[in-house]
Formats: sequence, C-alpha cells, structure tokens
Amino acid sequence: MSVSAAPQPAATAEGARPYLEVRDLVKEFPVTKGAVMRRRIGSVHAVSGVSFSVMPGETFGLVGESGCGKTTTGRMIVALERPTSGAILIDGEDIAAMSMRRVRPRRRHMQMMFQDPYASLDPRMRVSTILREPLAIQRIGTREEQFNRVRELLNDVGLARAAMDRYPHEFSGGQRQRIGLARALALQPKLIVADEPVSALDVSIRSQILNLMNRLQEKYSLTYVIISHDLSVVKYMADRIGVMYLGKMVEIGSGEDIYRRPAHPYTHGLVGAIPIPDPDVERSKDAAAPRGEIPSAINPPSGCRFRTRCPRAQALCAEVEPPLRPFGPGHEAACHYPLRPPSEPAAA
Amino acid sequence: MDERTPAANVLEIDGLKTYIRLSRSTVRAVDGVSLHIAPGETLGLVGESGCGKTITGMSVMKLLPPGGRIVEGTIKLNGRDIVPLPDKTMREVRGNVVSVIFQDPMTSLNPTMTIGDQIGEALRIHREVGDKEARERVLDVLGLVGMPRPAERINDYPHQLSGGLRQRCVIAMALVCEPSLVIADEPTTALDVTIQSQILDLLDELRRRLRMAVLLITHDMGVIAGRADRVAVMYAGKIVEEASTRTLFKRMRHRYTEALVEAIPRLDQETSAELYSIPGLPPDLANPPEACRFAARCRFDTEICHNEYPAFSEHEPGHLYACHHPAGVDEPVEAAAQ
Repeated sequence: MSVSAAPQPAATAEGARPYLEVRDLVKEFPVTKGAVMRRRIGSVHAVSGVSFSVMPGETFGLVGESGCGKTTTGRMIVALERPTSGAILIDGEDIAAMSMRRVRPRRRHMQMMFQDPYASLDPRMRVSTILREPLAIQRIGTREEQFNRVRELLNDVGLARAAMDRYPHEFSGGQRQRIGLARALALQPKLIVADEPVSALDVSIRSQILNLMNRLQEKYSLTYVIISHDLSVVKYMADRIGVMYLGKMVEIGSGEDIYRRPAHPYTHGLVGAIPIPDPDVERSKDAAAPRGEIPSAINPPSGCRFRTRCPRAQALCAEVEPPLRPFGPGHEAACHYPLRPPSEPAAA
Repeated sequence: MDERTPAANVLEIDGLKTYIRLSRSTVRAVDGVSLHIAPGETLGLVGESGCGKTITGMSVMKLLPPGGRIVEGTIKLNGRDIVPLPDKTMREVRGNVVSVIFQDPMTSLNPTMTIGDQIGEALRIHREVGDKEARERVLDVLGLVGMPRPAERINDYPHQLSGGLRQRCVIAMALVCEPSLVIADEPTTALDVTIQSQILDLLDELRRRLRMAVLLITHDMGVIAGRADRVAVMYAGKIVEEASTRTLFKRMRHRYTEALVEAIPRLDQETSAELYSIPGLPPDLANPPEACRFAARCRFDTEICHNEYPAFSEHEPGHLYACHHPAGVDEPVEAAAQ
C-alpha cells in the first residue's frame, strides 16, 4: 500500500484534483512510565493508516465512536498535531513533510472549528479581539481593514455589529459557535475542519448552525471536513462519509451507501444503534448494536480491529487485516466477510 | 404475582412549582407541572437545556440546587405526598422507594470506594443487612446489570472500568433496593451510541422484570421514540404536550413539539430540504411571558398567543396540549372561545 516515493496528488478522470488528500496517515502517542526517568512503555495507536480525499467544495464527514481517531485525524489536517507517518496533501502540497515554519503561512488555508463553544473562546477577550487575532498573526491588512473584516464576518454569521465589544460569556452557546465559525472564516480559508460543531448545542440551535455552515460553504466555496459521533448530523451535511473504528477507516461511501447499503458489520451495527425519532421505525429495528466494548488502542486486536465485537468474525479476521475493497462507485469497505458482495475490481 | 386491580400510580405530581432563588432574581424552573406514572411504565420527559426537566426529577428526589424550593404542588410517591416530609424521612425514601441514574457515571460514583462498597451502601442503610448478605446481593445485582465476571469486579474502583461498565454500576446502585420508581436523567448522553443502546436495552429489561416505573429524562427525541410508553414535552418550565409515544410522533399538536422534530436531521430520510431552525432563544425564566411561552419563537403565532396562556387540557382522548393553533387541527381549538 505505502509508496516510498514522494506522493503525487491523484488525478481523477475529469482531471480535477482533490483539495485535501490524506494517505496512510499514522499517529502514535507514546505511553510513558516514571516521572524522572521517563520510559516509553508502548504507544496509543490513535490513527493507523487512514487514507481519503476530499474534492474542492465537497463536504467529507468522519464518524465513529470515542477513541476511533477521528479528532486526531482532523487535528493533523490543520497541523495542530504532526503525523507519525503518512502524507497530507493540501492543494497538492504535502504539509506532513514540511517543517512547522513552512506550514505556518499555509495555515490560513485550513482552519478549525471546535466542539465546545465555552472552552474555545478566550473569556478575557472581546469578540473583536478574538476575530482580529488571526488577521494580526498573519499580518493581513491595516488595523482599519481588520476591523472592517470583523464587521463583515459578524454579518456573515448572523450576529449584530454590537457583538464586537462584548465578551464570550455574554453569548448563548449557539451564538458562541457562530463566533467560532467567524474566527475560522477570518482568513478566508479554503478548508474548514469542524470537530463536533453542534454536539454541545440544543436541538433547536443545532439546525441554525448547520444551515449557516451550508450557506457559507456555498458563498465562499468552502471545503469541509466534518467530524462527529452523530451519524445523522454527518449524513445531513456530508457528500461522502468515512466511518472510523479504532484508528482504521472501515468504510467510505455516500450517506445512502452508509445508511442503506452498509457493507461493513460495524457500520451496520452503528446505524442500527442510532435512535430515530419515529416509534414505528424504532420498534421494528432488527439490527442489534455491536456487543461489548471498544478495545484499547494501546494494544489493538490483530487483523481486523473490529473482530472482537463482530458477529461475523472468523479465523481469517484475526490473522489478516482486511484491505478496503470497492462495493460500488465511491463505496469502499474493509471486511473479509462483508454484508454484500464486493463489486468486480474494475481497472483499479 | 396475581393480577392486580388497576394499579395506583407510582408517581403523581400535581401543580408542581419549583423555584430557584438567585441573588437578584427567582428562576421559575418548574412552573405548574403535573405528571403521573403507573407501575412498569416509562414516561419520557423531553425538552432542551434549561426547560426544567432535570429540576422536575430532582424535585421528586427533593435534592434541589442551592436556593431551590418547592413552592407549590404535591408529589405523591405510592400515594404519600413527599413535599412536606422532613429531610430525615426523605433519606428513607431516597434510594429505597425512588432512586436516580445521572448522566455522567464518573461524577456519580465515589472514586475512593470500590464499586461493591458503593452498591452495598444503600442496602446497609435501608435494609440493615450484614456484610456477607450485602455482598451476595451486590453480586446478584451486578449480574443483573450484565457486569462481566462480577466476583472479580466487585473490588474494582470506578477508574478501572470503562464508561459503559461504570454506567452499569450506577444502574446497579439505583436498583439494589428495588425501588418502585427510577429517575433516569440523560442516562446515556455521555456514552457512545453502541454502548447507549446496550444500556437502554438493559433498563428496559429491568423495568419489565422488576415492574419499576421509569421517568426517562432526555433531550433526545430518538431515545424517547424507542423507549417511552408516554411522552411529556417540556418547554420553559411547563409541560406543553403529553400523549402516548405513538400518538405524539404521529399526530403532534403543539407547535413546539412539531418544530423540535423538524429541526432534527433524520438518518432515515433523504436530506435535500433545509432543516427547520427555531429562531431566537427560550424565554428568561426569571421573568417568563404571561401568555404562551413559545409564542415569540413560533411560526404560527397570532395575537392571542401573546396575550393569553392556552389551556393545557385533554383536547383528544389521552392527548393533552396547550396550544392556540395546534398542528393538524383545522379549526383552532380556542376559536370558539374568542
């Protein structure tokens, strides 16, 4: 799978190039023991060889449960975390191979929107300072121009101009998330990685933020990577979805592929476990949720990492790690005993 | 056992008002709520943050935040009004007749006690059993909640367990004295979805087996749809609609319920249309509007909605709601009264 040559961006049939391409991405965190004589006693295999690509203007969703590596993947894309190995091509340039000094000026193209609107805004800064900070760091425009940009941003996210002089605690959760979105937009990025953008919000506020994100995507041709544990949110927003489990990408496909035609038993179980606000649908469900608990990422199972909870697991699953195989156009899954037959490998 | 005559309700709340006094204002967190739950029944109480659903549950436990006080109404547990009971008597009720399962298993377990000691504590207090008998009963209940290898786990501390197993311990703690009512306040919100469905299955099974009444408090309409027999929708301190789960989802009447369901992205539907979003924010409960509390955010509001509180009553059999312009009803219900 891994090629040692310098990665070249993949060209698709139409000649269009993905804006973001992630290849064989690996992140291991050291597990140490001892305060003075720190020894490395193992690693947390947070992300273990994840690949996907996102076209310009597309929304890619990453879903999975706690510890599946979705957040670490997102943080590596915006260079808040450096990968152990693998490539991250942004507009054709591999930021994983660059020094931080070279990454920094490119950061304006990829911004992050965080989950907790209470923790991600400095409580001692006025909104105008929060929104001007990225412009000041990247030395864009004069003071006057920066303030104009702040006004423009507030207008974009639907906040009154008077918000400039107020502090984060004066806003509700939904309004704070609007400020978070405005900050992510400040540098006119091409790519926004949104990590659980609405998980901390109430249902009635959630849809305001999701709809706003959709409108801004259209207005500024943004490319989104949306990370969430909530498959319903991701399916609403994303063109394509990647399902992660314990550091691995187990299935990639459209929302309908994932919901109606899952090939991987984990995807099937995950879909079945999500409560749907309709008593008839809920009570006629047959899919049983995966049994047991997610194993430790320090010592993940051999072969297929889902095998310890999988109802279809056989001897092969412990021995050989299943590769991603095609199950239809744009639909791939990594399973030895999938729920439907894989499509014939065309000219791959 | 034998067939009982129509069982009396385990819980009957009537006209409950619980206010919280702050330094400069009084928050009317629960403002005239009436509810009832029969043995073996699950009542879902659904609403958004700050609507008063948790304070309603905590009023039944009489465990209120500082400044919180029940100012009006009755709460009958197995026929006995607990509102006037002194704290000493309440201690005999809590954990014994009614117990609670909180959202976050890490903060509702004591990190310095083994899970066996914590689960056994209620038994030693309420049942005056010896150590040996308590241990046996704890092992039973750990088995009941599906704890793998209970004999080994009984001496574990909470940090040695995963989130799902911790929540099983919290459930074991709540059930060990076989209470007639369990208040489950967002019991699975902190858990992953695959673990959530395991825990909800477990609660369902235990409810059936032990004929407990369950007050399931959640913000998640999906959880309600799958688990509750009846649903009460709460908004800004008041119940706005109540019906059997099927009726509520098939023929919702209150415009808030309708808006809430339309605002949720649904996994099982094509997602072409934009989600409905409810404008604005809920009212300040220190100074709530006199009329319909949802009127300011409602798509269908007219003058009457801002002037008069709609009566909360049984407009259709078993279906109560408080709305001047209910969804799916041709003639506005209040039209005749105008």
